[in-house]
Amino acid sequence: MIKVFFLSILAVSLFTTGIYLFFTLRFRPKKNITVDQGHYFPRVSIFKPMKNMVDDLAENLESYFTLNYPNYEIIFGMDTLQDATIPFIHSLQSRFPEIPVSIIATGHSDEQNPKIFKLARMESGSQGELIWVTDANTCVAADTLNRLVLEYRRSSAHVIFSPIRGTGSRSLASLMENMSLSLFTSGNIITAWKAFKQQIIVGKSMLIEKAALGHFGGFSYFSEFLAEDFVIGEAFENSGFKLSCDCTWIDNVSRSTTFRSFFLRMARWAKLRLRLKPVFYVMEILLNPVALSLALPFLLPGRGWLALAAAWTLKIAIELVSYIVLSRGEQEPWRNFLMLPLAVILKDLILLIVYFVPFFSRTIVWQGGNITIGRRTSIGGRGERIVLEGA
Amino acid sequence: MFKANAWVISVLMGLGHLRAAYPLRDLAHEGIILYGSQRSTPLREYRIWRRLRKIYYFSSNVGKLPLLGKPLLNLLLAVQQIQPYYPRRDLSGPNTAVRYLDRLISRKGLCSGLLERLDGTPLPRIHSFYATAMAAARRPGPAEDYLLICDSDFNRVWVPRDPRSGRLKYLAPCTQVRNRLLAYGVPPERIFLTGFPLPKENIGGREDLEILREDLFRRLLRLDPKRKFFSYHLRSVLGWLSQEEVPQASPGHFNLTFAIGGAGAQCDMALPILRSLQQSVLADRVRITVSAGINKKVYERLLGFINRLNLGGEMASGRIGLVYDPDVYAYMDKFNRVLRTTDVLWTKPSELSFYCALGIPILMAPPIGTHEELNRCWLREIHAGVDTAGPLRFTHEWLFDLLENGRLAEAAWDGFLKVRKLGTYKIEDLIRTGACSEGNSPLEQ
Repeated sequence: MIKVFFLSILAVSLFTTGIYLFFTLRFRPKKNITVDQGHYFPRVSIFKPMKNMVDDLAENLESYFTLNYPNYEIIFGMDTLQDATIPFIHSLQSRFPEIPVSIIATGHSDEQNPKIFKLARMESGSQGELIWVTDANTCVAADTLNRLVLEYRRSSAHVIFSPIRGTGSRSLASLMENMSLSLFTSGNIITAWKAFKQQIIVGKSMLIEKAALGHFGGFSYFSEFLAEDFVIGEAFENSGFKLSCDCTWIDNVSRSTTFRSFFLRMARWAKLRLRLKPVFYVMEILLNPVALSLALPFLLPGRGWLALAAAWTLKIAIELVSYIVLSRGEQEPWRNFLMLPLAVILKDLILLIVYFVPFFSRTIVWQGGNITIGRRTSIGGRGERIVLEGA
Repeated sequence: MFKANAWVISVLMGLGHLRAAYPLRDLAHEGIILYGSQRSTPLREYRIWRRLRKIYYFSSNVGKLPLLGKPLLNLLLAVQQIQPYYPRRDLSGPNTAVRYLDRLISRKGLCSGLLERLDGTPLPRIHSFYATAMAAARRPGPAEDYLLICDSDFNRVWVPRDPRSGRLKYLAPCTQVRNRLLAYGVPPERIFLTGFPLPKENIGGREDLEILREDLFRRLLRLDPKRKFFSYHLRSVLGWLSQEEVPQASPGHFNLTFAIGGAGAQCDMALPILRSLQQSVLADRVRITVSAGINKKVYERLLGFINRLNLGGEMASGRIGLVYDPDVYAYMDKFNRVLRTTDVLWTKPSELSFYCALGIPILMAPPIGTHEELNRCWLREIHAGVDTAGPLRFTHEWLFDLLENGRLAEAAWDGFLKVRKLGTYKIEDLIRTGACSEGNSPLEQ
């Protein structure tokens, strides 16, 4: 009985991974679209909150200066004007003088979400009807903004969000990270949206209507939560604003990730997910067939190892297809193929360890500070937010 | 500007106690102390306050629970029960709540952190919540303690175990409160009939009440489109409000404000009200402002109702408004601003009942708890409160009937004439001179 039950769970786990693959392939990145000059192009303010160097920063930033959208500005926000990214921005400014650029030193807050703290200050100087928030380590195709705005017009949604494709792998850990982003994260985003109309917004790319954001008084409304992307999506949804995802993919460039940084990032996201959706998080273990199948040799003496090998092979095959179709950019080395089976198994075993971390820790290391989170990732832990003294 | 020379102490247990304290901010030394918050309270004591707050918010919403809701609510109401005032008798004996509070103060050190802070500067202390007042009044010292009652009738827990020997003084918002204090055994010399403190920005100067009177006159014009009310009360209105004549046209639109309590319990009412009044809003017959308080979830739900009814565009045109701010003081400023043009305040009969003194008729939502039940009785007695005349889904019918037959205008006028409106100024007088007059006419009370 136990064997049948466990094998059913494992089958469901592999099937769900297959579903993720189906949806990511079904809505994989499409070819470039051309700009129809007859349309109205609302002004877009691209918000780039920056903090120190990331992989391929120059190329990433350049992709935002070469968008084929005719009406946009870029606003960079950083703690201080001594940030290491400044020379790159100045260089791009001189190469693309036709693109309006602002650089804002926002300072830093320990008591608020550091990213939201920046965005709230960037907001006051922006001219756009739409705000496109993207992370520093993202790279986009020339038509990405056009696609997002098209979707905005087509759907009348107030927030457009995107799946994330991990690219640029040059190390085993970066390969693991990119595969996790492309299949697990984006599989979740697309499946939840296309199959269940549930939003899972990842903050790496959010196109937001400024007027709708104004109903909340701007970004600072979300400053008390660390998982600002999820909370933004939830607040917009609860407030009757439309959200949409047309599967305009955003590239997340991870080239030199180490095992340590991979572990820390996954642990950070796991801590957020546990505090956001505890029940779903507990069930997440069922989405890791590699980890589940570790029990097979004990449950099926004799044939257990064979079953384990079969399960692992199937998982590797799914990830391989995902990698070939989604993750593998033109510049990715062929040796990634050789590393891929090892990367898949190692990744899932590390994720098994990561899975348990949030049950023992509520502290997150992010943007140079330790942040303790509570329910719904509220910053500061378990306390109530009644800090309103002094009339 | 009045010189700050008193401690003003409140708690965030819903918005009522703080709303009572906020108009006294000119008096407040070092700003209003919002005790029980994480920042102002030692950790050990903070846990007690947090638990009390949880009980408060739970009890405000318990009635909505399926199956168990009603019995649990009845149990909670039994705990809060207020003894009937009649027949007149001695009610000075302590009840269970008094004994429990005594134990919290003496054994658990409730409010000990507050007292340490207050001891350094012996100024008069104005409390808008009983627990801090009881704790402070037990402590020997030169400072005087005043407890501001926030309802029109109240539980025995607001008075200490031995009311006759204590030194706690009381600020009564209405005569019924004074009578109740006497019944609880408080000596008359320690009771000051001041009125409930209302925002000065809604009153104006204490002599002229120029803002209140001007706002009220404009409100009465809007509330009496068929001039039925004026046909009875014309001379009285012109006299008290120092006006020459009644103009033919009404100044502006009919404005309804629906206030949701601090615990958000009335949020569900907003949807049928908005749905019912949707066409009237689009036809510009009524403008609606919904006050969400400081609760993000309530605000988002209300915004959701508005957007799903396709009324989002009406927010930009000003026909629909939402009052929300995460900062409680900023919220109160916004709310007080909205009240200036509010023609009807639809609210549960909470501390906002006393705002009828501004000449705003109170449309009464179902009360939660015994205090609010008695506030409703009080509003009915003075004719400043109006019951909803039909189901929420027919608001578009009965609300305009109440408007056209002059009933709302009457309630506005009765509230202005009968309810004390100078509480803030009287309390300032009391702190400055040790005495305050009760006043005789509606403009002096």
